[in-house]
Amino acid sequence: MSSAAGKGKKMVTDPYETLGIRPGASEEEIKRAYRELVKKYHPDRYQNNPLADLAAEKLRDVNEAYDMLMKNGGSGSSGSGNYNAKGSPVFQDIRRDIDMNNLAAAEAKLNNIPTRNAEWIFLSGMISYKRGYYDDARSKIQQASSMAPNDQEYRQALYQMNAAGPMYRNQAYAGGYDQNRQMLCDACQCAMCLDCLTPGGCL
Amino acid sequence: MLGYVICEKPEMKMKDLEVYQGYYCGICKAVGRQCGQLSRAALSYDAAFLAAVIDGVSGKRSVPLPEHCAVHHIAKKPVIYSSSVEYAADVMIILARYNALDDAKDEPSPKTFAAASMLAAPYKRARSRRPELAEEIKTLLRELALLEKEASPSIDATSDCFGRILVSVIMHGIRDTDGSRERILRRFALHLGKWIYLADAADDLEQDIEKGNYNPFVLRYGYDPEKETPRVFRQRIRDDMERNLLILCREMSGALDLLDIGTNVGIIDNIVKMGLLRSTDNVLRGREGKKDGNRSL
Repeated sequence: MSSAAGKGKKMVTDPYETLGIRPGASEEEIKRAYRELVKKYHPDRYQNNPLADLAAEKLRDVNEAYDMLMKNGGSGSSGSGNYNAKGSPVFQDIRRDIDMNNLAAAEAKLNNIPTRNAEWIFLSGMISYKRGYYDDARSKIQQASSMAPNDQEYRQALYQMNAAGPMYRNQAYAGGYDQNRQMLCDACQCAMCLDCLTPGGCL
Repeated sequence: MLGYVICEKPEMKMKDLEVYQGYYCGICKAVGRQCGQLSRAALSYDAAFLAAVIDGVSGKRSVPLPEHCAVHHIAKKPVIYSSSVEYAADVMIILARYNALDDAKDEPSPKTFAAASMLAAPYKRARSRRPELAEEIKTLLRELALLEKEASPSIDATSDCFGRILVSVIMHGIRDTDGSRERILRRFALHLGKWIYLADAADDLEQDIEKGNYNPFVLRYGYDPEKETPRVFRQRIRDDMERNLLILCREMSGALDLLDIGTNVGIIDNIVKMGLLRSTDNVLRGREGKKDGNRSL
């Protein structure tokens, strides 16, 4: 299965380096750097140039680096040297694997990452979820959410897990299920067959 | 592990009930042919559900025929003859045999030995008809026994192991499935197996504590005999057990909606969307006042 990341080229590991700015640069600095680089590598400048594909790759990297840095809000971790900040390419790669149900691959990649921040724990939980390991998933998603309380993604995931039971129950109620209905044949404890519950009783 | 997959009878249509009963009676007759009239231990409505699912997935419509019943002498009972019934009967015999062997090991007595040996010959025949299935079940049960012996506190791992048994059972029973159908069925079967395992654990909470038997909930939620009685423990973890059970039901329900079921839709929907809820509510309540815990539907 071909990944969206391109044909075998390494992805951006250091967004600051790619944009040529200092780590922890301000948003204004990031945007300025981005605009300059986009102008530099713009395809219009490389039309009919045999090196056009290389320019396209560079442009892709620039865009990726810009996205990584601009999506950094809400996780509580700053950009300075922390390339596992939310939305980092390492985690994005893992997210892709999870989305495509390549759970073994996702897990292997996760295990190679030493820093166990909120996103790491969250993604580990998501892998568990897809495996049907819901107890583990819930613990981890809850932990990620308490590590990063402002993060909507983790909160939403936890909410959905907690809502599963009530949703199932409500659907049953809508279909006519009555929680308080008395089961009629407790008296005879007949394990043989359905007849007990019909008028006419057990024979 | 048997007896938890039930229907919500008041919500079943009469025609569906007849087919459901027809599967049950058909399996009863098949088991009777294999084991003699004595081994009704291998019988339950879980098997009827299995047969209904197999036929439902292949779109086979089965018409129950009225026949004489050895137990209920007066009125005739609806009986279905089909490959799904034969398969379900074999599954039940294999599972009953392993169950009986377990009982004989846990509580050696003339009674448990007799029950196990009565199933020996029928089991061998069923195994010769379904060799891969029997082998997979044996391997998975062994894996499960190991987890339980190691006192695994993981609800996930233990239930997953049993879930894979259900995957084997369902997938071996269904002839041709294409890619996406197979994915859905496997997921459905896995979750059903997990649910059965945990429903059984929830049901047996007090009993397992008393007898010192393995119970995933007891370990996971840290039962403390110094601080609580089994009953109090049940109250404490009731919501946790409910959450664990119902998320499985929700996933099953979701899988079912994606599956293209040709026949027995009413039966299968009733059981998955309401019967399992009924069963969940039953096991959460516990067996207040019920001695040996045998329940009717």
